[in-house]
Amino acid sequence: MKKRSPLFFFLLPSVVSVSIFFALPVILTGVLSFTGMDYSFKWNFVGIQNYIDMIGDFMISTVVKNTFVYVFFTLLLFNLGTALLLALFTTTVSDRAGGFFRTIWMLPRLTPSVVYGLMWIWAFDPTDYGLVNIARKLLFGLPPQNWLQSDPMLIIVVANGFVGASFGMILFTSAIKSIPRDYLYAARVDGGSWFFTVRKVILPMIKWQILFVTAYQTLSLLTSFEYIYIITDGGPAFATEVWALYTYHSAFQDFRFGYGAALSMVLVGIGIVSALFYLKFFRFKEMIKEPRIEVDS
Amino acid sequence: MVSIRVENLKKYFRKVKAVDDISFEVKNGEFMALLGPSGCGKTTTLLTLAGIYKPTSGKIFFGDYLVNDVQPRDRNIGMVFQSYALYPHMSVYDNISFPLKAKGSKKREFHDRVVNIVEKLGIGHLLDRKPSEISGGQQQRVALARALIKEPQIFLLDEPLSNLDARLRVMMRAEIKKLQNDLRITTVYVTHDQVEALTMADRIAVFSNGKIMQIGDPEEIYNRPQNIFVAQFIGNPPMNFVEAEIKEVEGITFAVSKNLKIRIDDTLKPYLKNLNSPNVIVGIRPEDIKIYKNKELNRDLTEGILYVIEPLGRDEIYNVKVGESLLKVITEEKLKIGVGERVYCEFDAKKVHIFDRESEISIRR
Ligand SMILES: Nc1ncnc2c1ncn2[C@@H]1O[C@H](COP(=O)(O)OP(=O)(O)OP(=O)(O)O)[C@@H](O)[C@H]1O
Ligand SMILES: [Mg+2]
Repeated sequence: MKKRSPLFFFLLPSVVSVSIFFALPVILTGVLSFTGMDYSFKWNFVGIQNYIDMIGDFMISTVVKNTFVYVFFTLLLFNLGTALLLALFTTTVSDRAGGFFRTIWMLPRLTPSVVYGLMWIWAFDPTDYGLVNIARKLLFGLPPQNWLQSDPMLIIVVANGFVGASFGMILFTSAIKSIPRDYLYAARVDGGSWFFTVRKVILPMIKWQILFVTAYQTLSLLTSFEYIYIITDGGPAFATEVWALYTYHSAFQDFRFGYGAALSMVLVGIGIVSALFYLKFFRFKEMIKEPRIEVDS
Repeated sequence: MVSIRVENLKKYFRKVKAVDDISFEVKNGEFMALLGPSGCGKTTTLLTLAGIYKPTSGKIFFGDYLVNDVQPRDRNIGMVFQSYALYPHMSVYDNISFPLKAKGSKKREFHDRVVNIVEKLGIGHLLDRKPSEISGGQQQRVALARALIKEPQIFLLDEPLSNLDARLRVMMRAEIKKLQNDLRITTVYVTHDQVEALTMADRIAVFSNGKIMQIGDPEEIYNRPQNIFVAQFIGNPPMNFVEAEIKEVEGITFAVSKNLKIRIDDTLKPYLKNLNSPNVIVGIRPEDIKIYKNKELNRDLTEGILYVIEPLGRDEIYNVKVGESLLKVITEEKLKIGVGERVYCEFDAKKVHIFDRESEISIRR
C-alpha cells in the first residue's frame, strides 16, 4: 500500500481528466435519457419512457434502414474497398507516383468539412451549372438532373466515402509496405497471379489493419453526420436521416433532450455490439497470439 | 534441367552498383556457389536471376533462351530465401502446396506430390502446423520442399543455412548437397560462408563489391587464388601475407623482406615475368609452414618468437612473430614450446603465392 500511493498521485491528473472529459458525458447522457428534459431544461425523471417511445416512433424504422445503408455501403465500397484498392495500387506503382496519388486522396481530409460539403452540393447542383450535370451534358447530351432529389443516399455515401477512404488507405499502405519483401518475392516466384497473391498473401497479412479500420470506421460512421447535415440535412423527406442525425434533430431541433439522449445511448449500445461482433468474427485472440519462433532476415 | 548464362550483368540501385558487370555460366545440373562478404551483391544477383529485379543492363540466358523479359513465375525456378519466407498464416501443407495452387492445381491432383516430398525431407509429421510452431531446421526443410515441389529447372538458394545453429548447419550442408546430387538440378547457392561453398559446390564464384573476383572449382579457388581478395577470403585461419621484394642472390631467386627470405620455387619462376616491379606480396597458408624447435642444418629456416598458441583440439595454431609480422602456422604436431621462446619456420616453397603489390593480382594468372 505504501508503494502504491505515489503511483496513485501520479495517475490522478489523467484519471481525473479522462473521467471529466470521457466518462462524465456518457454518464450524463445516460442519466439524461431517463428524463423528459425539454427546452425548459428541467430534470423531470420519467423512467424508461423515452425508450418505450422509441419503439412506437414511426421514424425509427426509416432511420434504422438509412443508417444501415449509409454505414454498410460507405464502409464496404469506400472505407474498405476503395481504401484497399488505392493502397494496393499505390504500393504496386513506383514510390513517387504512389505517394502523389495518396496525397491527392488526402486532400479532402485537409479541407474543412463545410467547404467540402458545399463542393458536393455544387457538384450535384440541379441546374445546368452543377459539375455532374455539365459532364452529363458534354458526354451524353442529357438534360440536367436533380441529383439531391433523385439519389440523395448515393451522394451521401460517395461524399463520405471520398473522405473516409484515405484513412484506410494510409493504414493499409503502411501495413502492405511493412510486409517483408521476401513473402512477396516468394509469391511471385511461385507463380501467383497478382490477384492470387493479394488474396492469399497480402490480405491475410494485413488482417489486423482491416479489422481495425472496419471497427473504427463503423463506429465513426455510426456517430458522424456532419456531411449529411451540410449536404441534405436528412432530406429529402427523411431519405438520408440517419440515427446520429435523428438524435441531433430530436435534441437540438425539437428540443427533446431526454429523447435525444436515449437515442444516443442506443447508438452507443449498437457501437459496442458491433465492435464485439468484429472481434469475434476476425478471431482477434488468434491474431495476437505470440509466434513461438521469430525468423529475422 | 537447363544451363544458365549471365553476360555482362549490371544492376544499379540509383548510384549503388550492387552488381557491376559480371559474367558467368552455370552448367546443366551444376552446383554453383556465389560466395562473398556482406553487401557484395549476391542476393541482388540471385533476385535478378529469379526475375524479381530487372537488370540495368546485360543478358541472362536459361539454356539458349534469353529470359530478361520473362516474368518470375514463367522462369520455372524454385527459390529458398534467407528468411525462408514461409507464409505465417498458412499451415506447412498449404505453404508447400502454394506453388501448385498458384498454378491452379487442385488438391486431389497434387496431394501425392506433397506427401512424396515431405517424406523425402522428413517433415511428414508437421503438415498441420503453422511455421511459427516448428523449429528453425524444420522451417528450413519446409522452405526446401516448397521450392522443389513444382520440380523447377533451376534451384536458387539465398544463404539457406545462416539462420541455423552450427551443428544443424553442418548437417543440412550435407543434406542439401545430397538432395542436389540426387535431383541433378541446376543450382545457384548464395553464401558468405567459405566452408559451405568449398564443401558443397561444384564451382564457386567469389564476389566482392558487385564484381566477380574469381570463378573456379573449390580446389582451384583454394590452391590458385587469382588475387589477394580471394586468397584472404578463402581459408581458415586465413593466409599469411608479407610484403617483400624479388631479388636474385647467387643465382637463386628469393622474396626478401626485412626479416625473412623465402626461396622461389623453380615452378614459379616462369611467372615472375608477369610482374611490373619487384615489389610483391607473398602469401602462404598456415598449413604450408612447418615449425621447428631447434635450428636444423640444411634447411631454409626463418627465425621467430612464439607469440601465442591457439589449440583447436586436433590441430594447433602457432602464432609466430617474425620481425613486425605475425605468422599463423597450423599443424597437427604438438610441439613442446613455450610462449616467448625462439622457433624456426620453414616455408613450403611450392605452395607460396606471389601477388603484384600494385594490382594485387597473382603472378599465376
Ligand atoms: N532494393 C535495393 N535498393 C537499394 N539498394 C540495394 C537494394 N538491394 C540491395 N541494395 C544494395 O546493393 C548492395 C548489394 O546488396 P545485396 O543484398 O545483393 O548484398 P548481399 O551480397 O546479398 O549481402 P548479404 O550477405 O548481407 O545478404 C548493397 O550495398 C545494398 O545496400
Ligand atoms: Mg543477401
